[in-house]
Amino acid sequence: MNAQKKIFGVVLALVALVGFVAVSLPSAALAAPYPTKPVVAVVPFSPGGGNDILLRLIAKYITPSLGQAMIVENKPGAGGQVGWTALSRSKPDGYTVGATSLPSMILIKSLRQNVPFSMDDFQYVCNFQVDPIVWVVNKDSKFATARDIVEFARANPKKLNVAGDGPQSNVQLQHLVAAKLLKMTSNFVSYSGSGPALTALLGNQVDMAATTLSSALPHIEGGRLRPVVLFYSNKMSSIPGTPTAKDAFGFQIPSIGMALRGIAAPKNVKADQIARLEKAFQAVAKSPEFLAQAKSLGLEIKFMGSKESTTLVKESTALVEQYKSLFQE
Amino acid sequence: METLFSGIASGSLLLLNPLALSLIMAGTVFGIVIGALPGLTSTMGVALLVPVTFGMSPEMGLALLGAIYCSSTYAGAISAILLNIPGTPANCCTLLDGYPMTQKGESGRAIALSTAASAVGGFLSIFALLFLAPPLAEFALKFGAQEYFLLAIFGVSVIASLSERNMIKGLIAGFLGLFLSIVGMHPLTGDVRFTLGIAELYNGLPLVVALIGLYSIPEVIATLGGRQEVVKQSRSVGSGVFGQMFELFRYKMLVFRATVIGIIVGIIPGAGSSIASFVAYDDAKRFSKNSGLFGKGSPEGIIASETANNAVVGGSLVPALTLGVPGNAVSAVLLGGLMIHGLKPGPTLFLENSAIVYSFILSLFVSNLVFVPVGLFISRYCVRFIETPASILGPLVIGLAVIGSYAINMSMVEVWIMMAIGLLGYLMKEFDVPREPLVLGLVLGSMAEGELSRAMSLVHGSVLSLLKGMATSPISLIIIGLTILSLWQGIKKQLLARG
Repeated sequence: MNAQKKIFGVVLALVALVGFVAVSLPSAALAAPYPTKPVVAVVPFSPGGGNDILLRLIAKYITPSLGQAMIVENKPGAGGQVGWTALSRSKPDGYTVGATSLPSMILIKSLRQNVPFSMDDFQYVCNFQVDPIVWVVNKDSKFATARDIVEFARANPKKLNVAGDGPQSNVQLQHLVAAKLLKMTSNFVSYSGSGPALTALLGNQVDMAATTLSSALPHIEGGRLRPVVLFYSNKMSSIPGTPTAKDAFGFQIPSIGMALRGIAAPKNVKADQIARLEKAFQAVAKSPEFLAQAKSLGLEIKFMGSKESTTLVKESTALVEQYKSLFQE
Repeated sequence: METLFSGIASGSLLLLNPLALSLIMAGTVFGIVIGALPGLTSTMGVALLVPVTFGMSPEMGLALLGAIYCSSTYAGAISAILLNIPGTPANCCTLLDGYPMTQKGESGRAIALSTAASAVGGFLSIFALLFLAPPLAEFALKFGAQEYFLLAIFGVSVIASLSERNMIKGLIAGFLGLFLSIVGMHPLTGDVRFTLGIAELYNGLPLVVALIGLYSIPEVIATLGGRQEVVKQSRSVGSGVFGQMFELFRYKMLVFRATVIGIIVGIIPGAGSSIASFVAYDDAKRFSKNSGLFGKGSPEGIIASETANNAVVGGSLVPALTLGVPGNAVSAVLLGGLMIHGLKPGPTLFLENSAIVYSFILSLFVSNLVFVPVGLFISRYCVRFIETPASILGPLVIGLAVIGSYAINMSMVEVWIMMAIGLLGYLMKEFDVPREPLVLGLVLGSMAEGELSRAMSLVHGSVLSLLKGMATSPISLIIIGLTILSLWQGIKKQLLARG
């Protein structure tokens, strides 16, 4: 009888213990600092593109600073519209973020009808990379400098064939703005991405190409293509000999098409979660291994925090509004 | 040449590692499952495992990704043969003869042939990648908008041989495909057409979603309607299988031609493996002594289609590795993987990272051998799978179709699109309209439209200069010649048939 009682007592104690642990576990989990599970990063483009590679590279290095893994999820379609719509509608619990690309997002919103997201649907965590636009020609092109191109285009209106990602892309916007300010006209031929546009240039199908620097860089380093002008305020260490627009033409051309790649969360994510994410991404941007690998891939890392990147979106929107009528001409 | 051999030597040293072999093995099993499941494509399989390779050395990671690419391209044939549903777009042509063989109880033979054909095509294409990459890449650059347009037109002419049974129905299906290919944004002007406001359609009707709908839904309705009986399959897969694989060597010339077609289509950026298998199928039928057997279970049809689509693997990596220009979607993802491992694709790759690149290429040889036993082992169970009653198999296939279309973008929109196309596919099956011309129209229509408007833009809208350009480009002239030949043979056959 006594033994039975003892056993009963032990069992009771065990049940109580298990119950206590079971009750306290979820609250312990709630109390644990965010994030407690992996964060999904939506990339609104196919695997292998500029945004995808940046995000996957970040994912490789972010686990120590975030405390959790970051999982890249590609949601391509309609030039990013599908993915950004999905991001704007995702649950604002801090476990879904997405890759942003300015000015592409703004162009989609302002040039298309019935776009379900607005730029205010997002909270910008940070900007990570800047990727300016360059004009490139084949190594044995008759154009030695950017000025030669402008002279040819002025003398032969609409005859200069320019390959570039398009239509209605950041690259095309940069080219149109440059052409307008340089008082020249050209024939912009859209390709489905900077890759195919560069292939067309390599195969001598076009006179020149306008692309992001990162996609042209492997061909520049391989000696097949030659950059003639960089649409950015500063020279870049990866192409030290290439003049900026100001040096080449004597006046400033806004770097309106420069791809600004960053991270955003849907609106209504808690401020402390945004701050936590910002800190984790900043740590990656400072990590020497990440920087070394980014440098070897020709990615220009320029980290800007949440506040700064929100201002950036406003500035970029204003510029797009100012120049978007050029697409109709 | 010297760097080539030293590269091979150092590459094989990296590869002679038990870990590398077990990774290739694991990648092969994963790739076969991905490839055999309709809707899960090679691209998705490679993209899914890129993060897994982060912790590995570049050569190990690439060996794994390469194994997935090779084996998933092959494994799409399994579901094409057994279920009449292509596992990946590359296997659309395989079902034309693979499924009739299954209906005759010869699924074992069909799978053995497709396995052997895939392995040989893949293996030979890696040889081309290893020894001929630089000149082949230069050839790929000669393709401009005008050549792409002509290539698409040549591809469309294959419709003639796909629809010999009934030319009118074949043409209707082809036009339907061409019409569906217009859906989405115009590639140059950006005008949005026939999308019904669905953003998922802006980039055109997604091919994989369309394929799932077109083939799985009608198949299930037909089997559930009880009009197809379960055929007892011969059990020779797995036991007497090697003998059946050797049947391939009776068709040496066919294998050779299909490999060449696959490599050439593979190195042309943007053309893709489904086009390669359609062209090879058409070529096989043209040269065959038993062309009447095509579509009714011809071994040559399976061999041509499977050899060609696996030969695309090596071809597509040629411009990817030498120029940094991916040949298709899968090699684009692989390029991304290379870059995350710190390698820079492009002309400098072979100089700066020759050991890693050569170990990657050599690992592809191994992958093309490893999927043979693994594939046959898995198929042994798949063959039993189709002997399950239709009342169980049908809902299972529907489930797979829904999961497959959902997984593409993790959204239900694709599932609804798949269902809508499924209804169309059912009507086509009911009225005995062949579905392959529709697929071909869908694949080639957007290419033809985009490239023609690009070619016109490049000559500033002058038709005369475009025609002049075509007349002076040797590649254009060859493609035009092939197209005329193909059409002429089709017409001649029709005339002969009518007496």
